[in-house]
Amino acid sequence: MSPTAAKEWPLIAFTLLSQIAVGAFWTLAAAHLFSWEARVRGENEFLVLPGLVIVAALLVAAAALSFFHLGRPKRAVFVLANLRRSWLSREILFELAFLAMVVLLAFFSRRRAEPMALVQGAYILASLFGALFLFSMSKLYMLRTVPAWRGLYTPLSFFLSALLLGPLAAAAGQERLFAFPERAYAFQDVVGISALAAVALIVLMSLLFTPRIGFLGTKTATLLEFPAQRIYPLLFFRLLFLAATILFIALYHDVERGALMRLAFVSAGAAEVLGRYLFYAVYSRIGV
Amino acid sequence: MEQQTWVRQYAFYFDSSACTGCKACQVACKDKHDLPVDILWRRVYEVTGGTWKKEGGVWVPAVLSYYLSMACHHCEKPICGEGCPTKAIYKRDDGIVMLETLACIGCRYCEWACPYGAIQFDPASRVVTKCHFCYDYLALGEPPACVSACPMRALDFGDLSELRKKYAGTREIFPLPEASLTEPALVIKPHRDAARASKDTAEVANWEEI
Amino acid sequence: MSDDGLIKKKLEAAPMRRRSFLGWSSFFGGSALTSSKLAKKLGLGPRAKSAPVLQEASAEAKMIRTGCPSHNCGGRCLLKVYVRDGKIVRIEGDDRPNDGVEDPQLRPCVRGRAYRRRQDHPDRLLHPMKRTGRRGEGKFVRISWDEALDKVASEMKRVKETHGNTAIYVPYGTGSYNQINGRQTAQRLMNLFGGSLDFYNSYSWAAISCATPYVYGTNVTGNQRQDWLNSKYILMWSWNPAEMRDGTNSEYFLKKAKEKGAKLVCIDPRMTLSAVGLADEWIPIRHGTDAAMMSAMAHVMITEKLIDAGFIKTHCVGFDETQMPPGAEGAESYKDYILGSRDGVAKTPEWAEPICGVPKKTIVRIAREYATAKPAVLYQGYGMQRRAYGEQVVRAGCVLAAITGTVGVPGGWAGGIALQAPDGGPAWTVFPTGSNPVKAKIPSFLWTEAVLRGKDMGPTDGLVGAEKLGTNIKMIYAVACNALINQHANINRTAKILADEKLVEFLVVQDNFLTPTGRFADLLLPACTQFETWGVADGWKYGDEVILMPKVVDPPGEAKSDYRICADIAQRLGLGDAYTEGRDERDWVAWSIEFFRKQRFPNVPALDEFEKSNIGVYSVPVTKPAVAFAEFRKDPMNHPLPTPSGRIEIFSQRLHDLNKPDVIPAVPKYIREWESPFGPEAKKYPLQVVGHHYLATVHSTLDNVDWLREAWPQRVFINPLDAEARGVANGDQVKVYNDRGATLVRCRVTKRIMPGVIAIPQGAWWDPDEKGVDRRGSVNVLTSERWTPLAFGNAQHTIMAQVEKA
Ligand SMILES: Nc1nc2c(c(=O)[nH]1)N[C@H]1C(S)=C(S)[C@@H](COP(=O)(O)OP(=O)(O)OC[C@H]3O[C@@H](n4cnc5c(=O)[nH]c(N)nc54)[C@H](O)[C@@H]3O)O[C@H]1N2
Ligand SMILES: Nc1nc2c(c(=O)[nH]1)N[C@H]1C(S)=C(S)[C@@H](COP(=O)(O)OP(=O)(O)OC[C@H]3O[C@@H](n4cnc5c(=O)[nH]c(N)nc54)[C@H](O)[C@@H]3O)O[C@H]1N2
Ligand code: SF4
Ligand code: SF4
Ligand code: SF4
Ligand code: SF4
Ligand code: SF4
Ligand SMILES: [Mo]
Repeated sequence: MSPTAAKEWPLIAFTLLSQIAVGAFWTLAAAHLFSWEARVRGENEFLVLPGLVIVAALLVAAAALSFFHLGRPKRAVFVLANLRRSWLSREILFELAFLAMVVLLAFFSRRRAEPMALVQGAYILASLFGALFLFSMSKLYMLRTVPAWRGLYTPLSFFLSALLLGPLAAAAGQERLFAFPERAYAFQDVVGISALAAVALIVLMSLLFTPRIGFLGTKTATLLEFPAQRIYPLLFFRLLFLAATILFIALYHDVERGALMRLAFVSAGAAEVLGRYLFYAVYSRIGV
Repeated sequence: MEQQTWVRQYAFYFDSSACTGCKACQVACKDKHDLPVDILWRRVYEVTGGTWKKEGGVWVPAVLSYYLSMACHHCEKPICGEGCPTKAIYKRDDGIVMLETLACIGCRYCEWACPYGAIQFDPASRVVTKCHFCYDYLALGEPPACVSACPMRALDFGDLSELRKKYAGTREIFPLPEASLTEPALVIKPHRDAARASKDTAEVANWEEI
Repeated sequence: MSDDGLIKKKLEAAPMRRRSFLGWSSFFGGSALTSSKLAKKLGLGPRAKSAPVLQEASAEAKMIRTGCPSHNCGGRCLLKVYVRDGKIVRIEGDDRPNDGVEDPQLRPCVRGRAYRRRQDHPDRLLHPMKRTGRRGEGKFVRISWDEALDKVASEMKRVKETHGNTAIYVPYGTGSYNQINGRQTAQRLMNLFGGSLDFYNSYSWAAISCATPYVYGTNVTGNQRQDWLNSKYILMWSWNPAEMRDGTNSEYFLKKAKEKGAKLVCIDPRMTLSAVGLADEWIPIRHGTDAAMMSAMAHVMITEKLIDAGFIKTHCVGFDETQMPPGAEGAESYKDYILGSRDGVAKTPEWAEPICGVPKKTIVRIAREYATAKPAVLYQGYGMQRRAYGEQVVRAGCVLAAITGTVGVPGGWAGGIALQAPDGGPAWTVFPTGSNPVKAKIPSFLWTEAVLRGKDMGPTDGLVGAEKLGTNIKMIYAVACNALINQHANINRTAKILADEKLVEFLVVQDNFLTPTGRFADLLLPACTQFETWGVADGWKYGDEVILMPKVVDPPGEAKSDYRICADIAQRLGLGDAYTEGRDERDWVAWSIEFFRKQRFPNVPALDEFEKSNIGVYSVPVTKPAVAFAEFRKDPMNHPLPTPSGRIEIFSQRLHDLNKPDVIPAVPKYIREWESPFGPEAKKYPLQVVGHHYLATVHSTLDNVDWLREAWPQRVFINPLDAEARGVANGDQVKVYNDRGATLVRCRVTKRIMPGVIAIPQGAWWDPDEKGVDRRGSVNVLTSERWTPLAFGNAQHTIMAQVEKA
């Protein structure tokens, strides 16, 4: 009677969408914070609005989907009751805080709010909340009784998902975000390279951790012992590889980048969905 | 029934050396709490392992087997409750770990955490459920339903420190987790075969029954 | 249970929970949240202002102590049932204080605990029904009681007129022993009606109850169980009391014996619940070969002089050539057989090893342990005798007790069926069936023979009371019986016989459910359960108590007690008053209690007092357990056994005189079974099958109870070595088959069974698909109708089969 991965689709959706949202927001924040000309910044402020709206929408969608995980969604308000001890409570707290900040920033952006320092401060604070959100999200899985989830793998994979998919998502929608194509181009360079780095890290980390996964549970040993699921890790790596290849082409060949970036996002996204499925599949606890 | 003196931590005693795995305890609990199929607040694990060897012309067993009748152990460090976002899980003064189903949102987080499989999701009420030590019977001075059910008289209950005084026992027995993880309120008299059981030599053999 | 229903119900059941909720809600700062509209909307309901007074769930319910329904389950236990609004809402066990060895609580087993799920089962038979389709098709239509009862009465008259009373048969059926329900009520009806064909022996103990008296002259060969605490060594041979109980508390007494230092050893092809929970050691043995191991043990004892020569000399006959009975002086003695002086085969451990699959050094060790750890018990379970030459192994075990001199001493054990000293123990049925004008009796297992060729059946077919039966069975009235189909051997054969309307012309089945036997009924009559009528029971095999079983709830639908149904039929035959003698169910219970008073329990309270006390059980503490044959042991001359020689007959002249030495030798011998791993049949069907008794059920009773099937699913147990050889993994659906039938069932691959042996617990309801392949794991599609040579008993544990992945 242990939860099986297939039943965890609401959590797969919740975690990934949230991570995309946080990662995309970080990208926006970076774009904002590192744009130096006030005029450009002003342009961006205006144009960044759709991005913020999308981030907020992603967060709301993620939260909505997570309700499908709950047996009693109507009682979800109770979830904040245990901030003192429960990482799950904290996760939701930080999610709400993050969402509030994103909405606030969207408001600022619409009003072209001044002074800039306040807006920048808000970006920084929001980014921090996003990080805390992801941190508590990973913390809640790091149960002492679930060795496969307990280690660094969990936070690393959650943050890397955000760092891979978030910027890619932003880059995929870049035309709308930047007034000046050359800036967009530079931005894509940064995003592309960091995404490549993220892929490399994910692959490395998965290779490092997979053999150890689930080693302690009484019931199941390693992932590779599920014959039906043996195919998934392979697919996971292939999809990541595909995403990397596409990115590589986009970055170093003279091609129309927009479509390729979107393609890279889709294949990296597919890889991450699989990866997250596997994450839940290796659940296996100490004891009985 | 002797009047219970003040109890700091209610606990179960389980004599694995005398348990036949008959499951009277399991079903007594189901009857008392009207539990549907698939929910077992008390469960009986069969641990089996060892080998068969050919000696001369015949197969000779070096097989080990024993049972563990397990409920919630009302741990002193209930990991189930640590993460519960709604505080639906809390510890009473007498050590009983209670689960307030009215407050439960059914996130099943506690189910992931409990290393004893004590917490089980009820698809009908869509919340998790678990053993509450028959606190209603305790208040009446009666033993929990499972304890008085055992035809082998292999179960007992009482204050943890009293039980420890009354019976020599352990909490470390394969395949239970290290006791330090949750400090279960449990005293087990191990079956003779338990000494030979480990992850390499034995396994829970009756998952389909649990 | 739906949704909030469960929570609500639990809340109702345990008001305390509300208080605990307050504890939780205080987190939100008192009642801020909980008294809000939101809280109400969320279904948190009105909250108690202060902690409610604690109230026990069942406080509003009425608690009645009663016996667990008296099936053929191996025990008789005391329940506390809680009744609310005409429904049993909870079942608990015996709670009498002073739970000790002398008078222990009669704690129910898992089946009794789960009984509500049978009692309130949606499939209960509620109305009389008559067959519409072909016989056995299982199609029925509801009819009135009047139509049903008129039909039974008219068919009884018709069959009586055309074929005679001997053509009517009330078959073996062990569903109820509470006096008021059960087959005995129908037997009384038939006896008043001019009689019906009777049977003797049982599916349980045919061989052991027949063979034991050939050694001891009686079946009362057992000590009271508390005496096990005086033993130093207990060989649990084919004995699994943790699962089949063998009297409530047998497993508990064994635990106590162990605590006092006895060593317990289980000899069984399966590492049973007893082997794990009771024994110190498990010795797997190929089933059907125990007599070989016992003979080899005798060889060790004889050659190592571990026998009690003095006791043999004074108390036994036929051990060696010095003590052969007159007229058989030159015959082969037991010692001759063991040493091989006649047949040239010494029954050494080396000889036994390849037969039994037990290493010779183990045989030697067990022989020494048993012979020297005085006093010792060699307990013979009934599994070892429900098989091809079941009589031999029974006698072989008794002889080991005899030659080691453990008979008639505290802590010892004579072996055999071991009904308890001094009086044979429980009576089971005291309801007066009256005497049967038809004197002919068939062995219980041979009823299909009587259906097919009863006309010609005579003593060679086990017929007693008549030289010839003279008629086939033409009408069957089956009450509390699933042994026409499910529990009888070779279901596919029996199904064909019953489907033929020219053979059995009228078939009534009276049960709580539409069982596989019921499928073949022409008329189905709904009997109430034992909670729904009055009853009284004494123990199963052992016991020193009377358990009162008051009616606790009303029957559902139109169900009635077996007694009432039979009384109503009697009424239609003009035998109403003769049948009831003016008594209703409760009056017969009063009558039965008076019977118990005269028979074994002079101080049992009369019914009114018994009922009023709500004690449920009257028990006699056993302070000095009786020891069988104690007087014979002390003074064999003045207290001879009721055998022809007055002594323990290791050699039986009566058997000698039968002159069938190959199948009924005069001294107990190992005889290779007609289906075994050693014959040509093993090529096609290499696996031995045992259909053991399972904790999930009482035979087929309770097979439909979900809590029990959750705990003990139906499956075939198979050793990893055999599974691997067949490409079968744990949990796979497999087909188990032989020439007689096939069954589909999931497998449990387990090291707890010896290689070459598989086990399919008996009792699962036969469920054939269109091709006749059973889909439920009903072991009796594999068993054979062949009977044992001396007892004419069932040999349902003698099976060879093959397994393949389905
Ligand atoms: N749970 C439960 N208990 C019951 C019943 C029930 O249906 N369910 N039925 C009751 C009734 S009516 C009866 S008659 C008794 C029956 O009681 P038994 O006849 O004693 O029960 P079985 O399970 O047939 O056999 C007992 C053990 O003997 C083993 N065995 C079988 N054949 C052999 C053999 O040849 N040699 C050896 N050494 N072992 C062998 C089996 O593996 C099993 O573990 O049980 C009673 N108790
Ligand atoms: N292969 C194999 N077959 C076996 C055995 C074995 O070891 N192996 N064991 C044999 C043995 S020992 C026995 S005793 C027989 C038992 O065989 P049966 O005597 O047929 O026993 P059950 O299968 O319990 O069937 C009893 C029926 O009575 C019904 N019943 C229960 N209570 C009542 C009641 O109060 N009134 C009425 N009218 N009906 C009621 C039940 O629903 C059930 O259908 O099986 C034998 N069959
Ligand atoms: S056994 Fe599990 S559910 Fe019970 S208190 Fe301990 S951790 Fe919590
Ligand atoms: S399922 Fe219920 S009890 Fe368990 S953690 Fe979630 S809210 Fe708490
Ligand atoms: S104490 Fe009560 S609730 Fe807990 S397992 Fe025993 S019977 Fe069930
Ligand atoms: S009732 Fe007793 S003997 Fe039976 S499984 Fe439970 S603890 Fe073990
Ligand atoms: S042994 Fe028999 S009487 Fe006792 S509880 Fe079990 S089924 Fe009922
Ligand atoms: Mo039986």
